[in-house]
Amino acid sequence: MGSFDGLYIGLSALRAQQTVLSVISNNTANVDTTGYSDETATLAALPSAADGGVAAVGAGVDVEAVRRSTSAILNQQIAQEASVDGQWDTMQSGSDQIQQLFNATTSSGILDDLDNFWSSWQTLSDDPTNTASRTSVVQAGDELTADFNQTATSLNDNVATLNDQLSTEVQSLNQYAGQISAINQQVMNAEASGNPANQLLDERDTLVQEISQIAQVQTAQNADGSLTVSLGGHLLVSGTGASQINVGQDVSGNPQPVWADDNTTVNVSSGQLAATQNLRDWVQGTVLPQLNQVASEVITQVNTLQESGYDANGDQGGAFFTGTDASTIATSSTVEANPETVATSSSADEPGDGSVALAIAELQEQTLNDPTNGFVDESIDGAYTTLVGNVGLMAQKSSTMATQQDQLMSYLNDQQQEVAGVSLDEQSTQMLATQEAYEAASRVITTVNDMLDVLINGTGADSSS
Amino acid sequence: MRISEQMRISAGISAMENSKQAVDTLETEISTSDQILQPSDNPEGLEQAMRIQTYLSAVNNSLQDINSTQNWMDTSYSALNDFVNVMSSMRVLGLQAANGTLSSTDLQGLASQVQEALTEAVSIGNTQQEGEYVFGGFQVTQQPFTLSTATLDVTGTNDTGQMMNEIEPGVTIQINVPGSASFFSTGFTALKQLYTELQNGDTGDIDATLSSLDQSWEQASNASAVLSSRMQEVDTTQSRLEDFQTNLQEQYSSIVNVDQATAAVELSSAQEGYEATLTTLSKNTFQSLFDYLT
Repeated sequence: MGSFDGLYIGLSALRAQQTVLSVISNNTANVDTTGYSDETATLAALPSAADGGVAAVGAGVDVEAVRRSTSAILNQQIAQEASVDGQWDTMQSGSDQIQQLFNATTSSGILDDLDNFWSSWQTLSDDPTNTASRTSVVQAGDELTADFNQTATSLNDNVATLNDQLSTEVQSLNQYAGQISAINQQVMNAEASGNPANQLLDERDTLVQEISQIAQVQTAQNADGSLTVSLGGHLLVSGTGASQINVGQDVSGNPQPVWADDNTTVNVSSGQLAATQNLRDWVQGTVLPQLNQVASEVITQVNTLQESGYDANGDQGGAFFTGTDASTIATSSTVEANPETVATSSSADEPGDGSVALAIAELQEQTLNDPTNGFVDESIDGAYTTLVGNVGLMAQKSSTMATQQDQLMSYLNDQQQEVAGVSLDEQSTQMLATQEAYEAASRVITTVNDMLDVLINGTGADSSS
Repeated sequence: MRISEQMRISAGISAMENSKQAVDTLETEISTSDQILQPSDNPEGLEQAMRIQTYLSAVNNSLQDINSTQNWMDTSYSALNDFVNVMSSMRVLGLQAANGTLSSTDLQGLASQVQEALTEAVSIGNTQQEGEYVFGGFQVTQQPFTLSTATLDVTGTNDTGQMMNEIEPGVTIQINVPGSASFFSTGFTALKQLYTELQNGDTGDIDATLSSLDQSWEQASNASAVLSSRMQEVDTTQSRLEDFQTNLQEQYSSIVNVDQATAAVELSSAQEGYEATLTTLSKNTFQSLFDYLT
């Protein structure tokens, strides 16, 4: 035991408490930082000096480690659910955009155009010699085709936007993978030199959560501190290296993510990227074809009846519509230029016969069987109605799933915060305790100092004499 | 349970957002009076509403058709009755001539009455409705009957076209009596015959002529009765469709429109909830022990 041990022990206490205060200060500073994990300084008693002695007194206190409070299991769970959350959020906003194109309760849209179109034919059938009624039929046809064209254009624009979005998401994946591999390097360096890497680990956890929103990844922690990230069975980040993902093409020529090294398809099971692909395939493979079916059925049915009838001049009728689908449907230039050429009667030179016009008007309710165009016991209006219902169901499902997933995420985040979040009450209480300990250590040093003063200055030769 | 500051903040924000959204949705529903603001709000209901809308539109079309049908039939019916009256008065005139007591001057006087009646009957046959000849069959733009003033022969197009109008979705009815109907030609021929007989004072075969007139009168009366029963059917269909229309509108409205009273009550309760959230958040905003340390 040395005479100055008391001083050194007190000093170790002052140092340790200062570190603790720094940790508290850092926690408090990061109270609102996303991804920050609460840190705790672990104090440990220093063992007594090597000379030992009978009454072995410890050598004071030291900060053994500054640990972050975190739960690896929760983090992993959050990352997984973040994929599902990202997927449904994207599905929700995407299907919401689509359903706005089919808003049917407002007095506009294709169903109203169809009804006006049929109605104009019925009016014409009552009075086939009325020129104004002929013009109305052509106008109603114009409005209908314009709305078909516009809806088809918007859907195609939507597909293009989704393809752009897919490229952006692939870029983000590459960026996150690069960032994670860079942090891996820093963590490995820090661990090798024995320095704590808490902030780096927090940052990496956050990056994993963010990359998970785009695509579900699997992670594995390595002994050297690095994190291995794989995506759909292919390594994305391994140690300090990251695999590159490119935008390639699938069999139908649509953009899809592929691995740069072997050009195979990236197997994406959930996340924003999967949602973007699903949405695009849904719009391209279901919504547009169904709309096209309705448009092409209108073209076929109306034209067939027109071609079977006779116009105001006693001539055989021709095609009322040109085009083959929702994008190309248009009223023919012939009827546009001359509404007299609209056929209304079933025989030549019978101007009072409106039976062909009436047959067209009756298409509104008529159940059609045209399996080659996907019509089985369905009317034209009915097929469009079914399409709107399908779009609505998709948007509803996405919205319900997104809400549920948001709730799950907020529950998991709360759980994670319960472990890793900073509580100011806790920090202030610890600060009080630290303050007390620091004051006590200072008092001990003062006392030891006073005692040494007595020893050094108060004993031996009286210097004043 | 450990409560971190971020938990309190995120809980506060989500509570605020939820109650604000509830208020916003109800406000939009009330201002648009629609409870289906977009297809996802109620896809099944919307589909049902759209099917009703289609049917309603077809019913409206039929009702509109019924109006023009009724006008056309009314005109035809009153023209037919006029024709029946002409035939019946000429029959009386013929009987008067047949009793053999009239002088040839008197008979010639009657003959000129017959000529006038023939002119009237032909003009009845050429009755128009909004510029179209109701007895023209499908040839609505051509005058169906032409009277030659020299020979008193009546020539015509005799189109047999039956005009069918839709009075109910999928149900059509014949609305015209085509000029080919035999009572026209029988009547015209009989009148010419009567005129000639009276003009010549030759009343020997007048019985045969009168029986032709009778035949025409009877057939025209029958045609008028058939038309009348069709008009009845149209009227019945009209009132049935009008009830149906109201019914469909109510069904549509019950799916699509919002119940204003209920929505208003819900809105005020949602607003209270929102205010309560705001009050709570503003009153004890994120206090901690730090606030009490001196």
